Amino acid sequence: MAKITIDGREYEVSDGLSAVQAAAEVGVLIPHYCYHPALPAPANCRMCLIELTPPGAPGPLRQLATACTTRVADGMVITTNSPRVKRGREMTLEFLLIHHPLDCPTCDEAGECDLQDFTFLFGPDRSKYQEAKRVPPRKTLGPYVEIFKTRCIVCTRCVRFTEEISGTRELCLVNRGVHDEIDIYPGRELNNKLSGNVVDLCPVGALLSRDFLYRSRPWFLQKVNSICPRCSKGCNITVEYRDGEVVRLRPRYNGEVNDFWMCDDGRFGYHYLNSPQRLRRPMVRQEGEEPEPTVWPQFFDAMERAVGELGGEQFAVVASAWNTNEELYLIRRFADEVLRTKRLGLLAAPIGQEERFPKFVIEGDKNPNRTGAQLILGEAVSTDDALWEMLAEAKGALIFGGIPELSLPERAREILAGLEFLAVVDILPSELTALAEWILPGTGFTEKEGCFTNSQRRVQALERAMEPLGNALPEWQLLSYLANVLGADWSYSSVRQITQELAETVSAFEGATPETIGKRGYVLGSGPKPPETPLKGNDAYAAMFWP
Amino acid sequence: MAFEFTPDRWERFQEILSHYPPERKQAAMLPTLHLAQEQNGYISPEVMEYVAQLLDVSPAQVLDVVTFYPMFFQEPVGKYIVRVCHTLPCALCGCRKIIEHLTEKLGIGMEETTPDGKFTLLGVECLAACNQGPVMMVNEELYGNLTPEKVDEILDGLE
Repeated sequence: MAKITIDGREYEVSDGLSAVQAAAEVGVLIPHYCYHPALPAPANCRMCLIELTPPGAPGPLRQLATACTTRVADGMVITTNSPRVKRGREMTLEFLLIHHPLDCPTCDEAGECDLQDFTFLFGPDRSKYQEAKRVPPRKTLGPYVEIFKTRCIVCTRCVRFTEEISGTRELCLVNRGVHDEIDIYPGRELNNKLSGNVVDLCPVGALLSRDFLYRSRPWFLQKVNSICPRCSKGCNITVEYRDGEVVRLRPRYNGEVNDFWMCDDGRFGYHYLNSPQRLRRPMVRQEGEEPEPTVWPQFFDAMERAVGELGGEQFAVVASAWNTNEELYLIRRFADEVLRTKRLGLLAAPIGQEERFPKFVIEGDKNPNRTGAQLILGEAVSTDDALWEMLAEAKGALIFGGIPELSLPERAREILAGLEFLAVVDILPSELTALAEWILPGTGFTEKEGCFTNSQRRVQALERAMEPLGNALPEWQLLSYLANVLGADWSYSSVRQITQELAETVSAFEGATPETIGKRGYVLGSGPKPPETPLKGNDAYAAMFWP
Repeated sequence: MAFEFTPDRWERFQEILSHYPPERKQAAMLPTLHLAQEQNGYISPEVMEYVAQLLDVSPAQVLDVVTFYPMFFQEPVGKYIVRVCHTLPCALCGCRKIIEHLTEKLGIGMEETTPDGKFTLLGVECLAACNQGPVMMVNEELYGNLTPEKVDEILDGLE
């Protein structure tokens, strides 16, 4: 720890921090644009000016210093609120605004824009500039990113991201001085799988998401914390939604999982949730006919009859690697205790390509919870080819899908078509629902509460953004009703209660209670969680400056 | 049309590379670009892509450097590049007259090339010879204490 003085008060801050981070740790905001703790600091925007007294010096340096390139050290004195600093910030902002169009009314960034916010907080109230503003063109840089060059303040965060984090180096700074423009090489695109992150990094409205462009003013969006389901990494994200639609996913900082980033597959891979095709009510298919809408009690009765006729042990229950821990736990209990069947399976999206970047990895396992499924359902669970062989021996099946774009092998379709009873819980029409007698609407990840266990065995919580669609039932409720119809006596009243029970009854999940999981997740087997401390380092920075 | 170094320039390129650690080939960007421009006359997209590949960088990073420095040309230029200083000391010594004379004599404006491709005329900042103002450079050669007559003599003497 380093003892430093900020604005006349003494603090202890972590070692090795920049003055921007150190100030954030103790709740003092130092405005900045080009600096980001995950990137090298070029100190080009000049916004983070402070008055600096190095350790042992008799008084402050004659010139203002940049906080981003100042490493804190014992005895350092920093002033962020003196008239000199105030004047320095005003003059810097006056320069940065010379060519800025001030088109905030039509800019997507407005409301979450550092240029807007810091001008409001620290800016001058007038400009001496009376010449023409330069108007470089708007341009599409790649599949997901649009640049509005007029708004750019040339901080180069985006360029440094493609050099340091993605290593793809598509972006550059062309020309010089006042003619500077962020650009791509003619004929090439900004099309790496991490490209969306430059939109989050851009402190102004220059780099914008083409997916989000003009879709909503950001202040109308509601937000919950969630976990990206597109691979087993479990990137911490914020789901932003409005009027029952997911509008945007953005990464939340977690230094042990995804840092400040997420990949484009996850960021833009949410549209299936908003599909008009989403299943909204239970459907039943009479032999050879199109499915007809029905109501839940009809299904419960049918299931009761089928279990009575075929025998519970002749039933297979198939979970999905997109189910939460809590859903998987109830699926396991349902198979073991209610149906008393050994036929337990796990359906998963096929393993894809692992993609490595200098400072980010996209996992090859394209399921959010295979780890949780294997821990909860046990080693004996049938997967892949064994799953279909297991189903070939069964007479009836209850299958949980919910895996977008899932495609089944030909053999699997034959086996499913041969079952005497097939109920499928899914969120969209799929190859599974095409064969099902009972098509049951489930929930997408933004409509769920619960946890995923990522490939590092970190249990992380999803908050529910939206109600289940139409008459859809959350899977834990569906399983509770069904269990009770079949003679069990389950009385779960919340997902939290299931999380707690899982922690108490499944040894691998010992200690993974709602309290320890919290916002940052709990690594299985890591013992008691240390008590919460005030946020440090990048966590403190992210809390103050990252979405 | 693909660009590549001639054998003798390839040797010079290897010599340039030997000045830098192998994991920092990027450091050789400026001398490599000068070498390429010497061969090609200007930095075409083909040259940028070739240099990027040689130095393990992206073409965007080469574009970044090429557009930063005014001594790299992205369009074909004349056989002789005439750079006239128009910074303050030369202006006080009468460079405007020299520039007027040059544009009239060559029949082109600043930043232009004669139709026969012989001369390109550029206005530049200080050439570090203020004591001899007004000054100009023709390719690598510096000429000071210019008068219209002296300019005629220099240009007429060129092939």
